[in-house]
Amino acid sequence: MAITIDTLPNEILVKIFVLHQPPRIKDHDRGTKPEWRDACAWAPLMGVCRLWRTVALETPLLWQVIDVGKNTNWLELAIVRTRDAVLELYFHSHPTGVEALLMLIMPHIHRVRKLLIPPMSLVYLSLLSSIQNETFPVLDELRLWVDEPQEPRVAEYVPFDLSPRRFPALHILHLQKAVVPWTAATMSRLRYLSLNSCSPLEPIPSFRQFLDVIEACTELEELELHHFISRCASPSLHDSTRTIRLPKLRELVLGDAPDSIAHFIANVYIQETVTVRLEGWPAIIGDELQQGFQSLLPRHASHLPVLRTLTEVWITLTIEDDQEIIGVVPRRSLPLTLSLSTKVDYTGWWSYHSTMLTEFAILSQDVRLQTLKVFLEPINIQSVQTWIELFAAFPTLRHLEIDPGGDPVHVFMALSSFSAPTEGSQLSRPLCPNLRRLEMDYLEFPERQHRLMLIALRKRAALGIPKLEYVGLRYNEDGARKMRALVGDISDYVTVFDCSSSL
Amino acid sequence: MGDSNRLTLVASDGGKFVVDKEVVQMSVLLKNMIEDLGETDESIPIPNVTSPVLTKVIEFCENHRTDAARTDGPNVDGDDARMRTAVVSDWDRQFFDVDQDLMFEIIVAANYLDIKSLVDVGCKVVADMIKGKSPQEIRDLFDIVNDFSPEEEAALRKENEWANDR
Repeated sequence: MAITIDTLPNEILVKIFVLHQPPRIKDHDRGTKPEWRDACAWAPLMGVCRLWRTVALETPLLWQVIDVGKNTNWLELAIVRTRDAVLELYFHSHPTGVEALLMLIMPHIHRVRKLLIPPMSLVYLSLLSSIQNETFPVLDELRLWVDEPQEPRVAEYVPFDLSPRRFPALHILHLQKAVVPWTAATMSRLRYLSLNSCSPLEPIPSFRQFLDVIEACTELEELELHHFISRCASPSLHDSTRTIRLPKLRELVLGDAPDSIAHFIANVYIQETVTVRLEGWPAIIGDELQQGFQSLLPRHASHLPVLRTLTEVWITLTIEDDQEIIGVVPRRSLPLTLSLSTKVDYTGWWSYHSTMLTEFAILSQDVRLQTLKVFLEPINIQSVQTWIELFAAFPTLRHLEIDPGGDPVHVFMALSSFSAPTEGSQLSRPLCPNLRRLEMDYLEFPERQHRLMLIALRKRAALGIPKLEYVGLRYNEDGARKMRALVGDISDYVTVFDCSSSL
Repeated sequence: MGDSNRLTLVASDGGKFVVDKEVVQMSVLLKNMIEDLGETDESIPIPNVTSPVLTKVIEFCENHRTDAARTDGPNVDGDDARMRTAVVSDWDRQFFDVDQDLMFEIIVAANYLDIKSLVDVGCKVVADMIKGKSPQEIRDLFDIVNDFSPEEEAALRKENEWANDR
């Protein structure tokens, strides 16, 4: 007898229903704010035939993920039909409705596995009072997003006592703009921790106490701290650095004042398998920018070994967006991002771009970089010396891309220059001796440009450096035609010379 | 004495299939049988699976043999999460580009043989087929009879309203 869908075993039908819902993998990656997930998208399937309805009614698994909105009918139905199964509650109701909804849930608190409370301002936090003294024996994940922080009275500010006594199974904690009891007892069992603009409960912990708690968090797989480290006390001169290891960590995101991030990295060893994103938010324009990306790291970046594994780097220095260095490793997705926020009220970032490139070169000594892509306005790099210092840091470079290129004269001059003698070597060396591919886009065409490029290419050839395999120059307006006409035959220096107009 | 790395499966219609043990072990049922039998030249009968279906099941296991370790590996979020997040590759979609009878027979055979990844992919393919369709469109697609009474249909409509008005 042929098998049809209505003769499938019930467990198969259940699986089809479950897979009909949007996936809920990696919930913890979606930020703190609960998102509407249409958890009962499968509900219309109950209307296909009596068998399908019976199967749905007898499967608590289907009902346990509940998007709780303003209407309680579905919630009440789901509470009954889940029987004793665990509940995952994603609130999307207005905060004023939360209290009534929580009353419905109170008798079932013992089986709530995930609790995502709707974004609410501080004034509504008191509505959570009905559950503030409850014990949640199976609660695995808690999210609370507080909007509109006002000058707090601390007692109102603490939404939950997060002690293991009340939350023995808590592993995933996302809080925004809340006060957090920063203790090892509270934090050490967590696998995912995301604190966004949270404050530690008073008394404010010293930096040493902050690190003590981090050290106890040996189960952590993902850690995201935005504007939290700087709200603990700064390290004192008497604090010695230590080497904290978080053996299970896979992802680290720190967003804070650059010096707070640097203090963290100075004390916590980040294995090279960890995906790292460091976002510096300078409070004021000043010394931090003078140090560029180096302000995010301690003097010796040995606690960040991923830096030494990079083979490709994209540097994005723009006037309006964040200033970023993104590191690339084959077969891994972007393991390192260093970012300086431009959200501070300052439009003169470009004047620091030379410094940032130079400091990046210092930061990256010994990195065997093969590909470097720089996205900036070269007009902001006023000195050829900046390019020389950048190229000198990466003798292994094979592929260089600069976009938009603007006037590339300084780049050509740097590529025909020598590095300064270093401590270990009294000899100057030609820059980028392994370079095989050079690409620049959106170029302008000053008349002297073709001569300087030829000088650079001839000089490299005279030094015995192998010729470039590919040079791609893309010009604005009529520049490509002029360049082709003036530069002539350069096949002695370049295998493929691709000179065209920018798209 | 035969090749100790291979064994013979016998389908319900008598068809014989010589396959690598490594491939067969994607089936929890067969893996346990092999462990129980130890070194043997005996064929293993698969009484509930016909030759055309067994051919497809073996094709899937051959293609996914390198996934086996991943499928059996620890899953921090448990079976529940795995069940909700089946990934269907282009190859898998082509594999299931067959008539409905054969598609359901493969899923049932995978369930019997306890090949989790094949069950997951098959169910996901069916789930995708019904995504966005009304109950009547689903009935039409799979030739299902609407056996609800008018009262039951009224109750269903109310529940659907609740589901859509949360």
